[in-house]
Amino acid sequence: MLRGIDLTVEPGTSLVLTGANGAGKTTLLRIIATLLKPSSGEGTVLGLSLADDGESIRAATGYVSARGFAYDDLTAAENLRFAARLVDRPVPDERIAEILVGVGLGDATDQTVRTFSTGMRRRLALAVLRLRPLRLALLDEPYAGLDADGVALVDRLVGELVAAGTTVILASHQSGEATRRATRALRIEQGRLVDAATPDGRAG
Amino acid sequence: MAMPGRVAAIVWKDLLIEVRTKASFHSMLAFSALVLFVFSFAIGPDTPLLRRIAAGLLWVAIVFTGLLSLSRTYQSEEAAGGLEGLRMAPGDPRFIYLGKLAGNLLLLLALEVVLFPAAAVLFQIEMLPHALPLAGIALLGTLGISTAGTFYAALTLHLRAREIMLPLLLIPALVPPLLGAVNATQLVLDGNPFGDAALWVRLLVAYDVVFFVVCTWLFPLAVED
Repeated sequence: MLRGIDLTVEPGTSLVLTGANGAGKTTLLRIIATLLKPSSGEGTVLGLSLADDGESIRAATGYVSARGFAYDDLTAAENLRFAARLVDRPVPDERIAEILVGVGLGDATDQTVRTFSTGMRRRLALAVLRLRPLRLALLDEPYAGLDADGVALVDRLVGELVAAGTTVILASHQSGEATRRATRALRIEQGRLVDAATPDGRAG
Repeated sequence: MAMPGRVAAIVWKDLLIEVRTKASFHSMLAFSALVLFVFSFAIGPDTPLLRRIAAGLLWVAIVFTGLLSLSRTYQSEEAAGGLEGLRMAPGDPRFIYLGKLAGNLLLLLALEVVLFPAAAVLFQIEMLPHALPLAGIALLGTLGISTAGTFYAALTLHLRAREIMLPLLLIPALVPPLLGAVNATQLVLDGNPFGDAALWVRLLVAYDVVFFVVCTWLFPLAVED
């Protein structure tokens, strides 16, 4: 359960959330994504009210959950095409192929997701972030199940998003370049946010 | 513009998965055929009796088979990582309900294209001369079943005993369209003019309109965490 959360994130910066299992990292991300209503309190995301402007917040936000989101019986390209249609951004096949190559799934474009490894599924989930420009990206355990190349991919992706002015919030146990270079690091302890040293020793 | 596009995307995705796996249609077909055979064998070779109750048997088979497909409405979403992926789409979340409703309706109508002729053969009924009014009644009845069923499937999605809760909640709610569809179908099959079935058709239309409006309106609450 989260208590007394008071958090301001500057636009175009990155924030890393750490904390033990069940500390509330995912809950906080889901509240910011408007998937979960807080039992009390209020908040604004991108200058919009969490309580009243959920539709507008989601329009500018990309959320990659820890489980990912892909249909086993669709191919990687079909999954991405579906995700693009959901956000009203029909994407040409060439761009879909380009995005999949960019996340290391160039050889698996027409392969059904059922045959994918955990790491490949995670890469596909991350590919969704490249479908459209975002003002806010929420990544829940983005490094989970990824090999060294995959970790580098997350770092590259986060770097690109921040460079493009997107605010990035990562919840992660594992550390990578993106968590080390994060503008700010916070830890959730007993439902409260506390400053944490970044993994390279900088204060949060 | 955005809402119809997202509804179409869900229908496209669900039908593509169904065409690829045939997971629902084949089991629905086998189950509905089984229901019709079991009823007709239980009643015996009394053809006049079978003809008199044909509409009832047909619609009971459709409702039972509908329960099978409706309980799977959100299964692909659960397997894909929950409804979150769909709920993160910008705009009104009601597109999820409308897309799922359209998919269920199409699947049940496709089943009925096979089931009505099969019942005609099994119960030795002339259906072809009444094809048009029967198609209209089938559309209205199936729309009622799908409208309520898609909503109740969402309501029971996170319940531990959802396999039993869905029929327990849904079947009482389906009594009006079942009554309307059975009586209208039987009147048409008995050779009465379509006008004689007007009362039951009006019941079907009223149910469809009321349930469509109420279920669409309430859907965001049904999927809210």
